[in-house]
Amino acid sequence: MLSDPTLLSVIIVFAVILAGLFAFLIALDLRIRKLSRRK
Amino acid sequence: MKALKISYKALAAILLFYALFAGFLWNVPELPSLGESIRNLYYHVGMWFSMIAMLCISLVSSLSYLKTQKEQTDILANQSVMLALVFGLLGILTGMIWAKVTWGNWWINDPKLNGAAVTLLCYLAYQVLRGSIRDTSLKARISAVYNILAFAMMVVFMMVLPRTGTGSIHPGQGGNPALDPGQLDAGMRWVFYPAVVGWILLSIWMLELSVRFEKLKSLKNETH
Repeated sequence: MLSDPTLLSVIIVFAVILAGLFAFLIALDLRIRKLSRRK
Repeated sequence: MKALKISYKALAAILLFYALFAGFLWNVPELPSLGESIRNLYYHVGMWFSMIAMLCISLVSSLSYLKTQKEQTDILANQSVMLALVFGLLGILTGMIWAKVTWGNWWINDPKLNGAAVTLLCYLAYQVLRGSIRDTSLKARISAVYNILAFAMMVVFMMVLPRTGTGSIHPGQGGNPALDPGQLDAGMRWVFYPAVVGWILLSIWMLELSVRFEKLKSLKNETH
């Protein structure tokens, strides 16, 4: 199924969006933790 | 406790990536009316489940606020409604795509769809109400009462009304097949349940972050 270029590109786009979301949440998590420690 | 916090976040990521790859690649039943759009089940329903989970947390927080008057519970109620709106909007968008494929229109006059839209409007009104009151404790008290009412309206509009009268053509309503035993393909359950858990864990993670952020903000306001 992965030989279908359309399906492959759709999966890649969603995987990048999901990875971006998790990267953003992790960065936010660490930032808030750092700010909480400073308070 | 710290390990638990990290593990549920990691689990959310694992389950959602699994839902993405398995959801797009695994075989699904061939149904002429649904075609490949049946895969939307893993995302659309998961988002609605997350919304309901957020609204349940919000309801409990509002009830807790009325009992204890603790500011933290008000923050939790507000932030969970915000996230419920985000997931509800995503649920509506994914539902509209699904409706276009299966019913031929982005939106149809259906009790379930209209009920979902009215529910979102009720919770948007909650945010407007909060924004219109300056006094913090009054805002918290009035919005907590409204939130309980909004939850009751959500139950009526999304769960009761679509099952009465002429019924709805939405799955799960008016005798249409949905998630009950024998209705959802056994193979799809292997992706569906992890996907739902993944979406709910993601919403809990986002809620935790937004609550911590709001607490920091209120702490900063107190010190200034």
